[in-house]
Amino acid sequence: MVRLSELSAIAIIDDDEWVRASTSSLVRSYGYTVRTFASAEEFLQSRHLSDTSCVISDVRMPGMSGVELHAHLLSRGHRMPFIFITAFPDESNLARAMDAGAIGFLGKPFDESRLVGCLKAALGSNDVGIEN
Amino acid sequence: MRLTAGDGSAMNRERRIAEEALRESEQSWRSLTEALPQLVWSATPDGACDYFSTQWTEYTGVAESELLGWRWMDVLHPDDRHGTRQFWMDSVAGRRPYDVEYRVRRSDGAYGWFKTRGVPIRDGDGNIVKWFGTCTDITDGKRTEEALRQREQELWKARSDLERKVAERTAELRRSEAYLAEAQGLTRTGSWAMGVANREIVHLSAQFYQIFGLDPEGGIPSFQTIRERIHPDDLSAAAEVFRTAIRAGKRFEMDHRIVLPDGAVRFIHSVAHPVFNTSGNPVEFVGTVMDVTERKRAEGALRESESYLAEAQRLSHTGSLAWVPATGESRYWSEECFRVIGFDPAEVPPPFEAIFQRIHPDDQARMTGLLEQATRDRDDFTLDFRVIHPDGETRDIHLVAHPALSASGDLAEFVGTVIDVTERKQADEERQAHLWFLESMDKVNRAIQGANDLERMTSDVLDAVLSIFACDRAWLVYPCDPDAPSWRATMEHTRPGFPGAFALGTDLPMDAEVANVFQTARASSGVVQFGAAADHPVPAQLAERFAIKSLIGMAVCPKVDKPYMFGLHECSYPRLWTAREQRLFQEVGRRMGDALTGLLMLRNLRESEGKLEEAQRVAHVGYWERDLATDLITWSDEGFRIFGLAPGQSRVPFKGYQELIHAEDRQRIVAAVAEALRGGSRYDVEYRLVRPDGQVRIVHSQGDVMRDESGRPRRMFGIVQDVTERKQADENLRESERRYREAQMQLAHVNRLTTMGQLMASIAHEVNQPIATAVTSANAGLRWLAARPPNLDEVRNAFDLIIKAGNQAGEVIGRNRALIKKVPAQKAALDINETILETIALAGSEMRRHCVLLQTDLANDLPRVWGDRVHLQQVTLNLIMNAIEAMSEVSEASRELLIGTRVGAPDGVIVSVWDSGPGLKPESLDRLFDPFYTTKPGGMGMGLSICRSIVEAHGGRLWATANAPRGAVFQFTLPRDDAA
Repeated sequence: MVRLSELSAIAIIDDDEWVRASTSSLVRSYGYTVRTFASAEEFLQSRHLSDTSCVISDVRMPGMSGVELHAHLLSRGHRMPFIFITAFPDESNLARAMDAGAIGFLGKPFDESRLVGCLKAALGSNDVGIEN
Repeated sequence: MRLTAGDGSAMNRERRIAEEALRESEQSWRSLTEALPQLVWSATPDGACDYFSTQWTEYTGVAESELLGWRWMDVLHPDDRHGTRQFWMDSVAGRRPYDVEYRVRRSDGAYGWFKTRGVPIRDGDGNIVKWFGTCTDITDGKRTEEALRQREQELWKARSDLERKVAERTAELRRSEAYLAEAQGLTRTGSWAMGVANREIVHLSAQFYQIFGLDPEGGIPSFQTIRERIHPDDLSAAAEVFRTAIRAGKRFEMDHRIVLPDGAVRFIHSVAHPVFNTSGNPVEFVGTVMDVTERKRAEGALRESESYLAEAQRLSHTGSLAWVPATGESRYWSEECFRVIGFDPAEVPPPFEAIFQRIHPDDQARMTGLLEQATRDRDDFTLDFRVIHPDGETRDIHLVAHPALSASGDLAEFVGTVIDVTERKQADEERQAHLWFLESMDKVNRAIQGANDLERMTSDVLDAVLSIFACDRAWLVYPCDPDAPSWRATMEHTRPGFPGAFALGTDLPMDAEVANVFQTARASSGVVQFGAAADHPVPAQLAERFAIKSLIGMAVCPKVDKPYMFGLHECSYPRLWTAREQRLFQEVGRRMGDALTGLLMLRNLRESEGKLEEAQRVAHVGYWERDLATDLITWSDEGFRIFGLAPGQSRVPFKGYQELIHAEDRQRIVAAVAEALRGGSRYDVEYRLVRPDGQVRIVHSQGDVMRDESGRPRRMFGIVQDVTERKQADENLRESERRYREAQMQLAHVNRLTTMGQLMASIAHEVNQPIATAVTSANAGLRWLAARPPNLDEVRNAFDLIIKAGNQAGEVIGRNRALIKKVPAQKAALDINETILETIALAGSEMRRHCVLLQTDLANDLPRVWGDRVHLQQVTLNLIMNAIEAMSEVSEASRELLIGTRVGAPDGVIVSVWDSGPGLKPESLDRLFDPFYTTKPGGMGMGLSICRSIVEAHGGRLWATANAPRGAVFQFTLPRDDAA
């Protein structure tokens, strides 16, 4: 079965390998296509900017942070939805991210349903049809 | 002579012829006896005198008939009669020659001395037929003897005073007296007759033979033989006298010597007169020879004794003299007398005035007075005076004089002796001076020995000195130091009623005069004198203030103190101290110096003892001594006090001492003593004692065993210290230290918690990360499991992740648990690099959170250190956290932290933490490690203080310096593990 979601994958960016792997597994269990990246720079340099339907990114990373990546993509005209997951949730980051149009801002460890809600909001309800 | 009767005419004719011959013979004999100077007599064998020569009758004026038989005795001196009769009767009875001297009454009633000799005449059968004798007039000889005796007596008189002093010389004199006594015996006289014509000797008496050393058996010798006996030196003179007399037919008398066959020389007095025949021509010479050798010798001896006397006088410096007080004339001066008085012995005795001028002026008046009195009293006298000899020398003379009275009892003259006693007197004076010195020193020594404290000694010595020197003041001042700021009189004694010069014991400021006196005394090795007649004048102000005319003094130097000055004042006259006085003074000074040394040392010793007692008291230390022979224990005063006994109590028996020990400790202490005595371990114990009042004290006692040469213990000596308070203080200290350590541990823990608190965000992140992973993986796993069909590969991956994350979280929590937990310090040998890496792991997330770039430079050849891992991590963590915080002020890009380790001197480890923060302000460097010092708002300021305490507790050091080009460096050292 070929789905839209297979064409446009969800990007997961985190410098923590285990966080990347576990988040990827959970998102894939909902039927989404996932691509993982260890840093913002790695994602930017990939050829998948245009076929990325949504970005799940850590905020604090060596080099470019998640928030900076979001701002950078917005300024380049990429309006893809952003979901932030952070171990250091604070109000200023949340406000700034939400102001910039982020779909969600989740603290680690995040609630599974909140992530799925954010994904549905980002990609439309039809796409979540694979959910059984 | 016995005549026998004959018969007949022939016989009668023969008898007639014989009688004629006898008559002739008697006639001739009588004429011969008449020629003799002696009185001649004869007696019958029974001793009755039957003949007396005409000399007898003429001399005595008594008819022969009145003398015959025994009647001659009547003309003898009554005193001589008895002895003479007895002697004559003895001679007759014993048929011995008769030799006696007696006095015969002359016709004028005077008595003359006669030497009488009688010899028995024997017939051919040896029977005595007659006694024949002569009496020689020895009155002149007796007179001579008398004269000699008289002269001798005079001499004796002059000598009598001397004799006492020249006793050793009188032996010779006595010998001469013996000679004189011998000379009292009369010379024997021999007689002779010689024909003038042919110089034929017709008669020689037996005495002549004897005197001339001729043999009576050899018959009458020739004239020539006799002539040869005459001494060669006298021969020509004698021959001349003889020839002249014979030629002139005149009497002669001469003295000459003869030489006997044995070489002996005899002095002979010869008298002879001619015998004329009827025609008036001399036909014979009849003479006597008298042996006057003894007399001559006596005369010689007399002269000799005079020369002995002179010699004795010279040796004993004794002169004899006689002078007539009436005229002042010196009648007699012996030779030595001249020398003693200082005149020339070759001169005549000088006049009285000349002598008087020799007398020392001070003695003249006394002499005049004494002479006048002696002259008046006609009495013996003695006088000591001085004469001044022409060479200026003064001699001491002792005069002894005795008055010689005339027959009428008037004073004729003084006979005396002068003795030069200068040497004797000097010796006497020296002896006296020596005696004075010794007696004085004895007084001083007694004063010194009698006192055993300084004040008493100086007081007694000054008292003695005052009386010995008969001066006005004696004093001792201190110090004899011109550079001292002040001085004082330690003691002064003055003559009764005399004002003292100094105020005792008051410090007087040093002035130039006194300083000068001290200076002078110190510069001299002996005594110094101040006064008009001395080397130094009495300082003007002193002289005026204290009326000092003369001062003698010296520096007295005890060996344990500054010098004193000892001195005397004379205030009435400028006394010049004699050499003897100076010598004595100096000796007294020296003696006093020794005494001061002793007493000052004693005083110092007492002070030291006092200080020791004081020190013992302060330190609660006493000493004890146990005499093993008596088993008695002696304590010092403090020792008694420690045991709760009154100080100075008598010694305590060892048993009694044991009872003072706490019952629980007693056994142990007795055993320790026994062990020490056995030669085992030293006696060094701590025990409780129970004082008589029940108070319990803890003491520390230690001691050594003193042994004799054989190694037998004799006594134990040691100290005992009351350590009760110290024990309590130690306990208190230990308690406070324990509390301090506890507080510090608490503080360190608080610090760790604080630090951990600061780390909490990082730790949370670190823990959060795996937890997030686990939760997410679990959700993912559940979904893969619920899928139809379940994707088991995904499920397995999810579980893998969950396990990894759980482990990771546990690891993080475990890493922090040690620092958070409150555990006591546990030191061990450890690798500092490992410890630092663990700390870095703890702080890693915090550093990342603050974007700090960490570098490490850990040496790999480090020794292990001895320390507590948690505490050393705490130090390192504190330094890292401080650095992170400091660097928060600078931009993220320039936050660099370097942690390094290296080998540090000496053989330890240095840990350094460099940061690139703003650095330390110089003024804060000093106080950085002080407690409660902080530059951070809200900081407690304990971090670095605790770090330093921890490092120092490890025997290391923590310090801070500036880093280049910016930032700070904190470094600490740790010593290596000794066991490594």
